[in-house]
Formats: sequence, C-alpha cells, structure tokens
Amino acid sequence: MTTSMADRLLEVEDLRTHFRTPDGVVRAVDGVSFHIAAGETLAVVGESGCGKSVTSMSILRLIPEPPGKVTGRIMFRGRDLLSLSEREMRQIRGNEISMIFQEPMTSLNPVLTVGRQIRETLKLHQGLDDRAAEARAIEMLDLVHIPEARRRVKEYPHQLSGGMRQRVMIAMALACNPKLLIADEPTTALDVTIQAQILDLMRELKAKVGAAILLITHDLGVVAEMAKRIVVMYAGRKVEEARANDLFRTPRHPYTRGLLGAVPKLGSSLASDAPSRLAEIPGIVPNLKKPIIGCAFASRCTEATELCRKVAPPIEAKAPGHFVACHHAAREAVAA
Amino acid sequence: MLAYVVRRVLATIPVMLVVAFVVFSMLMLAPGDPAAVIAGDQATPQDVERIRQALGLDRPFFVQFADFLWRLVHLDLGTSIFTNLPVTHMIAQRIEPTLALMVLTIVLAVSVAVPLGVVAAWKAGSWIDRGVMLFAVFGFSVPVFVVGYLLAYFVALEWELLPVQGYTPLSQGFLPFLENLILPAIALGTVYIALIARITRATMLEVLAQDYIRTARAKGLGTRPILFLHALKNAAVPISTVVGIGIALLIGGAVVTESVFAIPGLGRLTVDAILRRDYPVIQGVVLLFSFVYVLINLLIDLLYTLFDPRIRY
Repeated sequence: MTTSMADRLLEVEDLRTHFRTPDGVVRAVDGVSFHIAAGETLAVVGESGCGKSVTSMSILRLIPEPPGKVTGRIMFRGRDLLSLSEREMRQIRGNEISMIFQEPMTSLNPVLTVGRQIRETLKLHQGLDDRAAEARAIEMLDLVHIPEARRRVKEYPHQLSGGMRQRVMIAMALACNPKLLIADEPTTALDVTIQAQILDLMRELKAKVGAAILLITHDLGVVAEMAKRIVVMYAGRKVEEARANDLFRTPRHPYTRGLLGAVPKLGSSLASDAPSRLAEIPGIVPNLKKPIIGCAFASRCTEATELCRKVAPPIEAKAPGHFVACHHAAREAVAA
Repeated sequence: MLAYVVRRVLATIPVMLVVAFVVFSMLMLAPGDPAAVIAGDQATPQDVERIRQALGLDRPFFVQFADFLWRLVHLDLGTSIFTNLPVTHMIAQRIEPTLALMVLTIVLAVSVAVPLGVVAAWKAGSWIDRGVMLFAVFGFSVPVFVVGYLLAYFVALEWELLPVQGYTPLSQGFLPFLENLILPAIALGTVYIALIARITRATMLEVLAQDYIRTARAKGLGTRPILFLHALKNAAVPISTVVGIGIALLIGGAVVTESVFAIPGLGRLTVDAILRRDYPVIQGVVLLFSFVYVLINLLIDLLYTLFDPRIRY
C-alpha cells in the first residue's frame, strides 16, 4: 500500500511522549512514526506497556502536561495537532477525531443517561438543538443495532450490558461523522462472542461513515480481521511495519515472531517443529525509566549480538512496504 | 419511590424514640435536683418533697418517661421551671434567628466550599490547591468564637462595614436582616466550609481519575462541563453526606456564635437554660435540634436518588 502524501489523513512523525516522575523520566513513546490514509484501518500492536495507548492519547492531546511531555509532529489534515491551542483541540476531539476505549463498563458516565451523553457531542460540535440531537441520538443507537433505541436513550449505563455499552460508545464516537476513529483495545474487555459482534459493527460502520480507524490492540486475531496494515511497537518504539498479509506470512522482527508464536491456534501449528505448548517471549519489557542503549528488544532476543546491545537499529525497508528495525532482519528474511 | 419515602419517614420514628429516651434519662441522671432548685435555699426537706410530688418526679422512671412521650406526641414540651412559660412557646420565640443563621450558613458554606474543593482538585498540587487546603486546616483548628470576635473586631468595629451585634427580624427588611447575619454566618461557616471543601476535593480527585472523565475529554468537552456536570454529579453523594453530618457542627457552633454576636436565638436559650438547670427547656431544645438533624439527613438520603440513578430502594 503506497499512499501519496496528499492521501495521508494522519501523519505521526517522531512522536515522543515522556513522563517526568520522581524516579526519572519515563519514555513511554520514544520516536514513533506512522501514517494513516483516509478510510484506512491501521493496527498498532504490542504487549501491555509498549506505549500504544499513550500513542493514541498523545494524538488527541489527552496526555496531562505536566507530568507528560509530547514532542514530534502529528499532522492531521494539514495541521500539526501539537501546535494547536486547547480550544482548537477541543473542536477536533469527538468531532473530527473520536475515540473509543477499552473499558465499556467504566467509560460511560454512570450518572447521565446514554442519550444525554450522545446528545452532548452533537450539541457541542454540530450545534444541534435538544430535539434534533435527541433524534440523531436515537438514529445512532439504531445504527449500532441497539434494539428499542427510543427507550434506551433514556436509560443509564448500568442498565446496559458490556457489549451494549461499547455500542453506545461507538454511537457516541461516530455521531459527528469523524474522519478518524481511534479504537483503543475496543474488544479486550468483552466476551468472545460479543467481540466478534463489535468488530463486525466497526467494519460495517467504517464502510458507512468512511472513517479511518487507528486500532490499538494486543490481540492479533482482531488485527487479522480488521487491518490492512500493521505497526508493531515494543518499549515505546516502532519495531516493524508491514501490510497485514506480509506481516503474518513473513514476520521479520524477532519480537513480531515472538508475538505470533504466542497466539494460540486451533488445529494447525505455525511450523512443523512447533512445540505443542504456547511459545512465550522470555524476559520482561525493559525499564523505560532509563534510556535504552541499542535495540530495546536485545535483552529478550535469542538472536541478539554485540551490535544489537550497542547500536539501536534504524527502521529500514526490508521489502516493499515492509519496514523493520532489526540489524539481523535481512539475514532472517533470507533464512525464512 | 413513594413507598421508599414513606418507609424512610417511618424509620425516623424509632430514631427519635431513642433520642427522646437518651435526652430524658440524661437529665434524670444528671447531678442536681430540679425540685431542690425550684424550692430554693431556704426550703425544708418537706417543701422539696412537696414540689417533687407536684412535678411527678417521685414516680418510677418509666412512668415518667411514658408521660414525657405522651406529652411529646401532643407537642407539649412542658413548662419552664424558671419562667413558667410553655417550652414550645419559648422555642417559637427564639427559633427565627437560629433558623435564619443556620440556613444562611449552609447556603453560604455550600456555595463557597464546593467550588473551592472542585478547583482545588482540578488544580491539584498548585498554589490554589495548597491555599484551599491551608484554609481547611485553619478552619478546622480555629474555634468559632475566635473567628467571630476577629470578624466583629475588624469588619464591624474597625472598618464599620457591618453591625457588630444583634439581630434584625426578616420582617423588617431583607437587607438589614442580612447585614446582621452575615458575620455570624461566616464565623459559624468557617469550619463547615473547611469540612465540605476537603471532602469535595478528595472525592473530586477520585472522580477525575475515572475513565468516563477521559471519555468526556475525548469528546471535546470544555473544563467547566467536565468539572461541574460530569465529575461533580458523581461526587455529589459523598459531598451531600458530609453536608448533612456537618449540621451537627452547626448546631454546636450556633450556641457559641449566638453568644458572640448577641443573637437572641435558641443557642442563647439553651445556654441560659443550662445555667438555670431549667430541665424542660433543655430537653425541648435538644429534642428539637435532634429532630432537625434527623430530618435534614433524611432529606439528603432522598436526594441521593436524584444524584445517582444506581441508588434504588
């Protein structure tokens, strides 16, 4: 997938989000770049604490500063979001870029009706009056397949199931027809059957609304279903970026291979000599409070050499559209 | 909902019964003999005994208590030993200043303390936050009468902005009424403001860390609707609880405040009654204060359902 600069809806360049803490600076995101084209779905994958959620929060400028500090460039429709005032940012949040979160149980305000919470966005960004906003809220609940929308708008979040609440979150996020939807682990907290329904819904609405989706997840199953292109993050850095097919077929970074090996498969196994038990990545994520010298993954990598521990590998194209930050990636690709 | 209200109102009856029992027995057990007090220094033991019989103080404890309750149900709080006036009559004469002082203090305290607490939580760690917390410590540690005398001295005597003492009934105009009450309300409200501001700040800090606040920010809402609608409505239950519990502080403080500012209210009546061992008056006032306390907390319990739809009975 090659997109010209003009098609790029969002372009994140060298994003660094650091937090000042009493024990030192935590480099939650440390020089990440990626882009999303209009209408595209990009997945950002990585284990807990790799900085993927902080990345999404940084884009919407929801990181409290201080203690946070966000630098780099976040170009959205020709404007650098990091240079906008808080007031200008508020006009973008929930309107041009909206977000849904991991925890549908706690992400809705428990003391306001769902109708009120949807209407609020519409009144704020679209200038609708109460009556028009109410009609639109009901329409949105219909759109996310909530039965008896007319009755449900008057209900409170605790009267809805987890899946329903996530549908409400989606309805709220899409109410103003955003250009970009950031979905931060949208299905992680849900039952498997509900997960599939929510993913179906997101795909359906993406087609209807035409929004691009930035999907943040640790679940490679979800990625495979949703995204055309994938960014893999590790310890605040991007380690690999490729089209979904390429990434699943020929993962070039040892960490990505580890991630894929850690996914349970029904029936077939990844390779003929794969052990019957689930592969795991040994070791733990490095301490982000200290500057990482060399490759962040080196301490856990079975293929790490002296070079890896000393010099951070640059992110390079190892195949068309396939970028990897690994000194040994090319060699591995040949071996594979 | 109606069934709940009825149930809650009925539930206050046993509470009031216990209060009545405690008030009644406290005075029975207290040192000093009302009969002897009434009889005076020159009375013979026979005189005292006669008065005791006349007052029914020679009867068994529970008979006296039952009689007390029976009269209570008929809104008869007895007759003052000192003035020979019905206690209800004496309370009625003195209730307006105290009621006015308490209402004004509550309104003032809530409208000052809640925004202070909200801003302190929002700007946690800033100088505003430190200032509010410093004020809270001050409010807790400085007694009502000190604040009262300081205010009276500076605002009223030195700067001559407001009257020093006294009370003007509401019937003589709202402004004079307010002028006389504002300093007492500030004096009485200081500790109450400190209490409410602290609880508001603590609760808001917790609420502001919740996921739904992040959602509200991600929707593009401004600071004001996030703080005062999304967050404050979630913090309302603990805050209103403290407002209710704090009424006890006000009742205690009202007695002192009325003395400092020479307000002819129930507080003064209570102090005078205690000094004279005027038992029926003491009983009447304590019962009234308890009743007000129970009533306000009942109202706050009912308010919960308005703040939080998850509270259902």
